[in-house]
Formats: sequence, structure tokens, C-alpha cells
Amino acid sequence: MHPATSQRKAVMIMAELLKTVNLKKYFPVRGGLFQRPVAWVHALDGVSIQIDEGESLGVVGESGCGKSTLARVITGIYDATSGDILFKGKSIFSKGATHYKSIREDVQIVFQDPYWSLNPRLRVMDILYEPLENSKKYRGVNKAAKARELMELVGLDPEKAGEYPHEFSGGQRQRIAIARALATDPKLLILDEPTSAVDTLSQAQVLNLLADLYRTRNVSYMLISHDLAVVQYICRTIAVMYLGQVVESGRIEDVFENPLHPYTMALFSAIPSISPDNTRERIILEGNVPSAVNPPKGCRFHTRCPEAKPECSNVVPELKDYGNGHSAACIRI
Amino acid sequence: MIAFKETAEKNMNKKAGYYIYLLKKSPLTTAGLIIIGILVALAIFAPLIAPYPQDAAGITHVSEKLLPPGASHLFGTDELGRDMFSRVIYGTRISLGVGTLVVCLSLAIGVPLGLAAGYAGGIIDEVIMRITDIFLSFPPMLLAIVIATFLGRNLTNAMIAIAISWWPWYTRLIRSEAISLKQRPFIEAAKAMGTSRFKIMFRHILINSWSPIIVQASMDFGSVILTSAALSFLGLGAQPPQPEWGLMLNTSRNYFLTAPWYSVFPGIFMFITVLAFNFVGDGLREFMDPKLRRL
Amino acid sequence: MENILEIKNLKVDFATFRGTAHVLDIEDLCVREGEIYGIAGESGSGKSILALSILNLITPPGRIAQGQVIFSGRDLLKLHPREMNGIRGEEIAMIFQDPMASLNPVLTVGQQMVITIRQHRKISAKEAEKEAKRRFEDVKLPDPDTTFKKYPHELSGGMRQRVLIALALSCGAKLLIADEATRALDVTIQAGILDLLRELRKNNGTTILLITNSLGVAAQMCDRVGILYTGKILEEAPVRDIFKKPSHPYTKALIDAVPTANLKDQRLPNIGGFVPDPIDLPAGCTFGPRCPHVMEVCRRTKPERIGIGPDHFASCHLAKKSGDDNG
Repeated sequence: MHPATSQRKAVMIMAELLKTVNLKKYFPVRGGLFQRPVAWVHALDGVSIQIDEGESLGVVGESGCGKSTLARVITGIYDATSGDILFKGKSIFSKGATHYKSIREDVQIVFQDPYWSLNPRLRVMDILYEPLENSKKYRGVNKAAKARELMELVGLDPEKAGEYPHEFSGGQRQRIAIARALATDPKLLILDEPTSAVDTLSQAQVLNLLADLYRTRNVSYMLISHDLAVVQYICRTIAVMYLGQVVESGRIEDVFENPLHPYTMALFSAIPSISPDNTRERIILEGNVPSAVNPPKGCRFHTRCPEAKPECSNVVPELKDYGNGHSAACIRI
Repeated sequence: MIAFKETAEKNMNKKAGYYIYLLKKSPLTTAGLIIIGILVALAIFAPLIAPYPQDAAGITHVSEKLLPPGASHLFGTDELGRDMFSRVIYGTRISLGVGTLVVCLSLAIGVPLGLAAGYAGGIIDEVIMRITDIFLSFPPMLLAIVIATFLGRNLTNAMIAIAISWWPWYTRLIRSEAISLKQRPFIEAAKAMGTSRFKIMFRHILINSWSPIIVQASMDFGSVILTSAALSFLGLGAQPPQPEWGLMLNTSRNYFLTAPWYSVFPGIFMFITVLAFNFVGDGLREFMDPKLRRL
Repeated sequence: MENILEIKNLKVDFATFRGTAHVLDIEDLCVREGEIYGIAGESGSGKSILALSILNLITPPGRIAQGQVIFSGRDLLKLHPREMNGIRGEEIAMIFQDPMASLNPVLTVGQQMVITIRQHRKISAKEAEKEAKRRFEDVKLPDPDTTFKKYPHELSGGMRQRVLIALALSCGAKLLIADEATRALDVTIQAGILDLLRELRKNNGTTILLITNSLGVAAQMCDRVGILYTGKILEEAPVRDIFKKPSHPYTKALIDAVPTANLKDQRLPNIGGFVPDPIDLPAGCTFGPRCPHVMEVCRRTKPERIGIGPDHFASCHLAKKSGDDNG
């Protein structure tokens, strides 16, 4: 009996770990003589998500939907334009930069690209030690010993801690990235497409590792992926994003078995299944994803929605709960 | 632990094999490296190699002036009877020294500014880059002449002058490297870990920009030597009796018809030195090409 | 059905400083007229090299060491470069992962269509324009008149891919090689392109060689699938057999490694190791070092390609046994 649905969750009281409130991130499009912003890319436009302690949330959507921006705003790589992020109920912006910095140890990130997410000119032990260097708490920790411990944790040969990243395969590098993220014993691990750049067999190994860590350590996941199979395997809740907004969210079984939003339906139907007998009807969406600089008025999906009505272009649908935490933003439901 | 050592050794062998392979593929680079090696050896062991070290320091023997090359004076003597061979060898010291110091000084100014401009962006970038634009808008030789004239005529000031006209190139180079590197996920990862800006710049960005810097520096080495010789030739750099190649060329002009060897030997040395550095620079650029590195 | 493309004993090497990399070694591969044949393989398995060698586009340090690529009765590797140029684009068209690389950025996509059409047929510019717009409609590009005047960078990835397919159609290519053509696209866009390719085969009878790293795409699209690993086709079978009755351990591992909701409480197969260095390929079976069923013989002898069912081949010492058992 292995990972995600193990009993530890049942015993624990669900406590809110991280919550975003109406989070917005606009990127300027600069132009003109003085490089002033002439327009704004609405990368995140009012995103409210919640991750409970010991929970694993999957965030899915296509490129440009804002899922990677969300990860980067939560981890402080980008500043938020507006909105709030609450960590254990406290706003991380409230006490200014100092508080923001203190959650850095508790919230760590693993990136998609295993080739460039590790500095190619540093030894693995230096890479693994970097998160510890930035905090006084870990002063005096033995670098080599800590590196060995972390390498063992992710199933790599600790003797290779003195080597450079290029000595490792893609899947192994991703393990190093996971080890680095775990160095400060974070409460929340943000996984930004952690397996999309590694081959299928290595992906299986990385997923096994993630499932093991989830079971054995007190850590929550926010997994960002375009691969629904990966999300289905690791996560217990899911949020579907389209053009900077969450269009549907809920428990993974509910959303997969009974998708409410037309975009979720189209997305799920477009995933090629490995069963050649799959007779599921594909919903082919017309047109392209609109630009996030000028997102469509009303429901953002109405330009491609197969079931759009005239009022969809005027009314902004709100995220409504349809029971059991399963919510969707569509006026047609 | 033994296994660890073995892999390390294997890696070393792999690396060494790789470099030998690259050198074999590029004979000009090998030639350049050998020449530079010889020049460095000449510079270091000048007191042992030069038959008349005191001549290099300026002791004159007017009675032996302008002797043609021969057994006692390999390269002949100059108008004050000093042994040209000794002076040319000591000249290697000056030229390599000038090259090293100027390149290091330019790097010391240019690299931090370029890092700051590229990584910080925005207004800092604008200010730094407009300043470099001002420096770049003058021909470097002209700028060096003006600065050298202003500071006073000696070798140290000439070096400062060259460095001042040289650093903006490094600033530009590092800035573009920093801009492309700062988008890399490992920089984002460092930010997410709370690594300080200073550490990100020097540890993550600088460490990954070494290749183009080294290529540029090795190419510049030759040009710097040439520029400093030119300044000395114009009387703005080394002053007599320093055995500087440019200075020697200047004085030799008067004796070009009667004693051609006087100008030929410093000229040949200068030519070979500059050529060798260019070969090595070209070779390095090829080596650092990621397409080639992949092999 | 006749074979439109036959590849026999094709070997491609790359010279590197450490030695020769053997990146492709295809014993026997036939693509039948009108089918969609899928090559599924991970990155580094040599699938792009395969596409390039069919068009004889391998450049140094790579070289085609031996073999034949027979297309409609002609060995493409023996053709004069000029004849080969005629075949590329005219009879065999190729679409890549990055459509931008195959489009001229300074010409509108309409101009490029007209140029291509007029290269192949002697018709007036007006007629070519009409033809181009008709092709744009065929590939379901929205608003052909506007699209005709657009530059490649003004189009989205999915639309560019459609333009490339339209270009391939306009010269009446018999074989379309799609090299990871949908990899860079979002799933909803990918679904549209895959649909289009399917229709193309249905309506025009175009044969498609679909090279992909996604088993899902292969399962949904192909008639037959070949599984590529270290430049070798380890297993080839009709699509149902590959996914229902995989007989090569590598194929099995690949299929099992795809996570699904039903597997939530199980571990995925933990196959360690990594794709071997093409310079230093293991003796015997190249999957041997990672294979859970590896035997002594696998380390010594290269497994032969064995028929184990109708159209079903595998290169595995174990497959031989099951083949014998079955009769």
C-alpha cells in the first residue's frame, strides 16, 4: 500500500497552509521612446486557491494560463501586483520583506528544466547547500554530511556529491533539484512541471520518489503540470486554469468524473489516452487561446467555448461551489 | 571512497583527452599556445637568458653602437651600444606585464559594472550603459592618447589610459551574458531560496560567463600590447631607457637604412606575440562553442 | 497494401572525439501506402535522425554508413542531389516541431504558398492564390483571406503548423513525415492538428510517418507502431497489439510507466539506469542493462527480429520463446 491516499491524512486535522486571495500579476508590455508600459499582460487575474496541510493540489492548464506565474509569485521570484498570500493564516506581505523571506524556507520550488535549474558550474554538494547558506538557522551544518543525507533521501549515490550536474542524467538531475528543495525541510513544495522534460521511465521513478516523500514527510505539494495523468497520480485536489483565472477546482475524483466547465471537458477530452480502444469523444476547440494582453470580456473562454451563449460575452461568471468543494465558473451550469 | 577517486580520475582523463582532441583539431591554437609559453618563459627567465642584463637596464657602451647581429650580439646593438637581444627579451617582460595588468584592470572595472547593469536592469542598466556608450564613442587609441597626455608621460599612466578606454567592452559583454543567464531557472531557483543579489551575481552569473570573458581577454591581450607599444612609439608610454618594443621601434626609425636589424627584431617579437594571442583567442572561441563542446 | 517506403539495414553514425556514435540501426522498416505509421521513442532514441536520413539530410559529422531507403521503388540514398531535391517537398514533405524554422520570416505565408504551388505547376499567380486559399480552407485555417496576408510570426504555433501542412498538401506529397509536429503545442491545439492529419489521410490518402515521444499520440493516431530505443526498433506491431499485448520488456515498461488514476495506490515500475551512450552501446541487447528480465544470453548476443504474430515483430530473446510456444 503506497502513497497518496494513505491514512495519515485521515488522522490529521486539515489546517490551511497556504492561501492566495484574489492574486493578480500583470506584466508590463513596454514600448515607445521611454520604454513606458503601453499595455499589461494579465498573467494572473484574481486567483484564489487554497492548499491545506498535507494536501496535494494539482494546477493544470495550457501554456499562458498563468500556472507557472502563480508558482513564481508564491515563491517570491515575481512580486505580486495585488492580492494577498496567506501562509498559515498570516499574510506574507504584512510585515514587509522580512516575513516574506521567512517563508522561503517553508515554501520551495522544483522547476521543469533539469538542465538549467542547476548551476552547471557548481558541484552538487554546493548546489544542495545553497538553501541552507541563506539562513542563520543552519549555520554550522556540515556541507558534505548534509549533501550525503539529501542524496540518500532522493535515492542517489552519496559518493557522487562532489560531481558536477552534467555527470547526471535528466531524471537524476531532477532528483537533485528535489533534494535541494527539501534541504530546509519545507512545508510546501511547489513542483513546476517536474517530469515533463525527462523520459517516461525516469518520470516513473521521479513520481515514485514524490509519492514516497509525500507519504513519509510532513510536506504538501502544489503540482503544476499540463500532464493530467501525472496530476491524477500525485494529487488529491485540482484547479484548472484558463487565461489567468481558475475556472474549476475540487477534489480530483469529482472533477475528473464530472467536469462542469466546458473548458475542463475539452481539456480532458484532448488528452491522448494510451488505450487504442478509447472511444471517448474528442471536443475540438475552435480558434486560438486569446492574448492575455486583451483578455475577452465576460467569460474568458467564450471565444472558444462550444456552448457559448450571447450573454457569456457580457457576464463575468463567478466561481460557485456545487458541493463537496467542487466549484466552477460558468453561467451555464 | 575509492570508487569516488576512480570516477574523479576517469573524469580527469576524459577531460584531458578532450583537450588533446581539440588541440589536434586546431594546429594554429597549439602554435599560439606554444609561442605564448615560450614568451612567458623568456619573460620569467630573462635575467638568465639575456647575455647582458645590465644593457636592458640602460647601461650604455657607445663604442659598440649599431653593431650588426653576430656571435656576441645575437640581434646586434642599438645606437648606444646596448645588446638588442637582451633588450628585446626584457621587452617581453614589459609587454606581457602591460597586457596582464591592463586586461585585469579592465576586467576589474568592466565586470562588476556589466553584472550590475545586466542583472539589475532598469535605471541602473540605463545609467551604466550610457556611460559606457560615451567611452565607446571615442576611438580607443585616441582616448588613450588624450588620457595619457593628461596624466603624464610614463608607462603606468599609459596602462591606466588603455584600461580606461578598454573596460566598456567587458561591461557590454558581461551585461549581455547576465541578461541571458538571469532568465535561467537556476537563477530563479536561487531567488526562490532567498539567495542575495550579490551572491546571485557573483556566484551564479559570473561563474557561468567565464568562457566569453576568457575568449575576449585573450584576444584583447594582443591588442593591448599593440596599443601600449603604439603609445610608447608616440612617446606617451614607456620612457627611455626602458626596453619597450614600441619605444625601440621609435628610436630605430632614425637608423632604419643603416641598421635595419634594430627595428626588425622588436617588430618581429611584437608581431609574433600579437598573432599568438589572436590564434589562441580564436581557438578558445571555437572550443567554447556549445555545438563543439557537445561532442 | 503496397509499401511506399522501405528501409533496409540503415545505419547512421556520428563521428565524435571519443569515438563513433551509432545512433541509428534500422534492420527493416516498411511503411504501407495510406497508413499512419508511428515511431515512438524517447529523446535520444534516434527518431529525428531517422526522419532526416529518409530525406538524405544527414550532414557531417554524421553519415549514413550503409543501408537503403526505398521510396516508390527508388533508393533515395543513391539519387543525384538534384533528383533528391525534387523528391523533398514534392513527394515527401516533412513537418517539424518548430514550424517557424521551416517558414521564411520575411514572406507572408500566402506568398510562400504561391511560390511553392507555382514551382510545381505552371499556373498564373491569380490561380495559385485561389489554390492557396482553398488549401488554407482544407487545413481549417480561420479566415483564409486574412491569413494569406500574414507573416509567420503573426500566427500562433498551431496555425503555423497548419500552414506547413497546407504547404505539404499543395505540392501533393504522398508521404508526410511529422517529426514531433505537435510536441510544442498545447493539448487542445494538438487535438486539432491530430484530427487534421487523420482527415488528410482519409480524404487524400496521404501516408503519414508520425514520429512522436508520446505513447498517447501514437495510440490515438497510428495503424502500426514501431518502438525505437538506441536507434533500433525493438518492437513493431499493429497499434492494438502494441498496447494490449506488448512483448518486449521495454514496451511493457513504457506502457506501465504512464501514470493513471487506477494506479494511484501502486508504485510505477522502477526501471533504473538510463539510455546508454551511443558510443559505447552494450553488447547484445541494448536494453539489457535496464531490463528486469535480463538473461545471460542478452548480454552476449544481439536479439534477432522475430515475428511473433501477424505484423508483430520484436527483437528480444524472450519473445523468441513465446513465439515458439505459440506455434
